[in-house]
Amino acid sequence: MIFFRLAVILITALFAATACSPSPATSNKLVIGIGSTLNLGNNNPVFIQRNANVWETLTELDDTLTPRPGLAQSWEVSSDGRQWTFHLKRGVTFHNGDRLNSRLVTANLLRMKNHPELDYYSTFSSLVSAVPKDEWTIHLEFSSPVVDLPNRLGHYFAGVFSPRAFGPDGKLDRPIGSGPYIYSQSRIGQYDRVTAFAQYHGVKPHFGEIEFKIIGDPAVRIMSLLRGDIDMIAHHGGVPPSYLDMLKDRRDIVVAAQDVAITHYLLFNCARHPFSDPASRDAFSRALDRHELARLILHGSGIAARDFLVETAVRWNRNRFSLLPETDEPVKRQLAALGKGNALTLLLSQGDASSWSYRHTADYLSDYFAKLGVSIRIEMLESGAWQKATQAGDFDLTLYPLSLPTGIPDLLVRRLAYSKGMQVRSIGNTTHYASAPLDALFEKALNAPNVSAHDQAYHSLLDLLAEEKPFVPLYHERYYYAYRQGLTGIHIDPFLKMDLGAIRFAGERE
Amino acid sequence: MPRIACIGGTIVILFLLLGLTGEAFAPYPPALSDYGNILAPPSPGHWMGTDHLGRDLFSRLMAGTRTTLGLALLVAAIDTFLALVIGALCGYLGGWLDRAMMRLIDALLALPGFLLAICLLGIFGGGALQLVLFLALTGWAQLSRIVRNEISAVKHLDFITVNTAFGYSVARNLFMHALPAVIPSLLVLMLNTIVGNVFAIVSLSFLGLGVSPQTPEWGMVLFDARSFFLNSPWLFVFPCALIAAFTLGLHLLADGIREFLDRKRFLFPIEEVRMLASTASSCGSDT
Repeated sequence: MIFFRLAVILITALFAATACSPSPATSNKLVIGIGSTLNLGNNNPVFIQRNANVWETLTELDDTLTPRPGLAQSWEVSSDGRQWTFHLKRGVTFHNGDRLNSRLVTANLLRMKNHPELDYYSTFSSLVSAVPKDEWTIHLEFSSPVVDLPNRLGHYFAGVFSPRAFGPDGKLDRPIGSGPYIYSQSRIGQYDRVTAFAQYHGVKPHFGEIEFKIIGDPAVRIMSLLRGDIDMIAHHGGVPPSYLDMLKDRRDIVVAAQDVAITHYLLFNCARHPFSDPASRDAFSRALDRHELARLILHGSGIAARDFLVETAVRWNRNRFSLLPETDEPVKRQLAALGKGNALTLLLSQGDASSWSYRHTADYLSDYFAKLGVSIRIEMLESGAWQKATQAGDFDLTLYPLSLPTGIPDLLVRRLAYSKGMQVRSIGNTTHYASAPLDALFEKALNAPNVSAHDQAYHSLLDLLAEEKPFVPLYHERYYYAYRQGLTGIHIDPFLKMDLGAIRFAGERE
Repeated sequence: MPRIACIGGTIVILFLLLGLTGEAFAPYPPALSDYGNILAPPSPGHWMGTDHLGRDLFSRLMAGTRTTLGLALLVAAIDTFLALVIGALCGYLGGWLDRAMMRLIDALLALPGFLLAICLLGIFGGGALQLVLFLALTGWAQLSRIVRNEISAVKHLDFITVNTAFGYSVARNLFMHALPAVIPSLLVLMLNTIVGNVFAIVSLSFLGLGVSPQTPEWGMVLFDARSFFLNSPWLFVFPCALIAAFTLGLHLLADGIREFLDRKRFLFPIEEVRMLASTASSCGSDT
């Protein structure tokens, strides 16, 4: 056993030694090991991910996914939910010297309005006018109520940029934001770099440069941290739970966990037998043992889901699902009927399977349901082929991750239940579920004149989904990250963003 | 027979026996899970430990031997059959058929076969049938070219010329006389093809593109072990050892056979054959 471990650690160490060029961090430079690049390219509305701290949003979502002030320090809404007034923060400078004011924000909002392909959540499709009232006040008028506007303005594709950063096509040439770091450069497959912005309006960044070093393999990331090539492992992937043991006895490394706003769902194909029958979906869902799945398979990387949305989103949680199986007589009868048919196809996306424990989750589900007499065949497809197959309805079951970028379940409903699917990217809902009452409730929520009616409509909608079960939650994601002892000010939000400006060394080092 | 061939042959035969009968001797059914024994290290109850669902690794590897070797042999058989038919016809008949097929083979050889298989399996999905089809599709070209070259050299030898003079048909000349002359060298190539196929099958499964994820197969066992290899190294070490042992056995056998045939001069070194052929034709012109 010891020999095995030693051999494997030696091999990994050798691999890490050859894979990583030594670039030891200095007191002025922080090196963060990440699994994949932060650079999204200029077809994306924000060019570089929020985690790079290059740009900011008008509002931000806190740990309970509730909006709090960002570049907008306060706001008011009219009683009909159509008129919004935002008061902007003063003294905010952009990386090119532009100052934050109402004209600059107006230009950003019109960028979204005029280029709906960049407005991922169709927030500004009903924007009638955006009028600067004074230097730091802006008035927005919508044709229909948008009571959740502060939530939508805080999501991770709603950055505010200098108008000189984007051209007539709305695309960013360069992400000129107001964050504590300035985007410097990216090298494909190697790194993304940002440099400190001295005129930042908040706490001045401590590190002159931050390099996001791209190390795809988690074992190599960990060995790089142990070897001192990087100071931290963060961003997507982080430290997979099965690798935590490697770090547990290291006094020079701190390992921390954060519950993030990602839930993993089991999706039924509602357009095909047997799951076109709600009774089959109900029986299958009630037979699930979420508690066992989390305990045996996820090894700490997931929390068994009691409801559709992460537990921190307390606004939406009503414990609609049981953690333990409910295998009463009707469920057994329904499962027996399922078992008489052909093997069910559980389709996996290869991309998702490599990012999350889907392969093992699918294995567990197949094994668990085999014991209940239901045969499941696992099939894995390349991500594009998976998308095509699910759109064509060529599956019975699939696993799917979804985050909660606005703190409200709009993306969840559009992506998995609303019959019109995603408006912007013309993607239908993956479950092929179609329900007039659900559509009506969703439209009611979207057009609700006040927060109370909005929340009431969403709760009714979630209740309906829990009854109809076109998809069911399996677990919420728990994310692990690690950093060198001595670094302070580290806090990761539910969307994996750190306030990089707040990070510093407790003591200087060579 | 050289000693290395005997050692290699013994290893290969052992693996083949394991593939045929191993599952019967496995202590547990390969799919039997035991949630109380997840990721258990090697012990008297589980000689090679257990995986993430508490399944016995030894039993899964026994079952996996049949899958991996079965698929590798099937792909090699298809490749060899195609190579024999296409290569022999092109080499013997020559002309437009030869030219057209050789350009097709050039095109196929210009594409990296493994990458092509990855693309096709990624698009059309994995599975045993797809795996065999796509590997066979990309694997026959190299063998076919070698067969074609050997046949085109053999067809100029005296015994074929004499047969033709006696009025033997093309089919009889080709299948009864020319082909048997290239079989020994083809045997060595085929063994190397099997090694290549085992690696391809294991690699594709390891990438998640091979057989169905539930099928016990060497590459799939490794794929499953990927996230645990640091803490449960037995999941990684035993399948790797099996793959290494089998490929070593095949290489030893192939080298041994080559050595044996060289010694017995069963192989047809192309240059030598061409020299003989040109000598024969120049002798003919003198008379």
